Amino acid sequence: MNAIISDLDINRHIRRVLVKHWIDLGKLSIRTTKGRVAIRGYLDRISGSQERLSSPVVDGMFNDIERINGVERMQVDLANWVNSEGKWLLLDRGKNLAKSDAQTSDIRQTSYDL
Amino acid sequence: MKKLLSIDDEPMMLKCLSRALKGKGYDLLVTTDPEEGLEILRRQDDICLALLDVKMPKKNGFEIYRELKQFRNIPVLFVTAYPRAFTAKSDDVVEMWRDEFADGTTDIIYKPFDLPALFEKVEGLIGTACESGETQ
Repeated sequence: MNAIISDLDINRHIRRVLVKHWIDLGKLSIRTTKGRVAIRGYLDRISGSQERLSSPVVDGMFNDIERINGVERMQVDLANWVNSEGKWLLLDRGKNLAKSDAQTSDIRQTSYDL
Repeated sequence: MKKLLSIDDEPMMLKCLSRALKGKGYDLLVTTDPEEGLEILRRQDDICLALLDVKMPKKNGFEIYRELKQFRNIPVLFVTAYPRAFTAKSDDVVEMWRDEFADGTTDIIYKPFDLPALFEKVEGLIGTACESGETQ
């Protein structure tokens, strides 16, 4: 039987997943309320990272977050990635630069009911 | 009341943080002196979050962070205007990212930020001022 996991624990586990993939935490907002996770912002690795994020990596990362104990639902709104038919795709880089400044003004939203 | 400590060499930033977080019900201690900040963290074991500036003249936020992690493992929020301070080209940052960030108790907020973003980061690490911040 799974132990009850708090929203703070879920946040901590999410950050662990993101850190594992060298994601810049300063460009993301993470909020968990009663197991409902909301991730917003600009998804990118910290500067100087040798490899750019790829679709399979982003897919795997959000799959890992979905599987965190206690996560009931996940909503992801990213300025530079869009979910198309279950696959995460990087939006046009030129547009992304402008969007990174505007943060979530033109967000793409994907929700998961688990 | 949850007690926080902010170390930043800009008094105006400390004033803004203090006003904002106290308004949310947190008890915020502030200092511009990294050594004094570390001493406060050693003496006051009820501090549950440290907010650290990165670029400071006497001792940078990464050095404070590493010293802090040697004697206490509390959540840390880096507050910086320099996103490129977190670079995978720095061996120190890479080591810190792998060794300390990996436990998920560290977050980053970039200046300038709005207050809702600050509150979200703080609450995401320790919860609201009134709720229990215990993690399993």
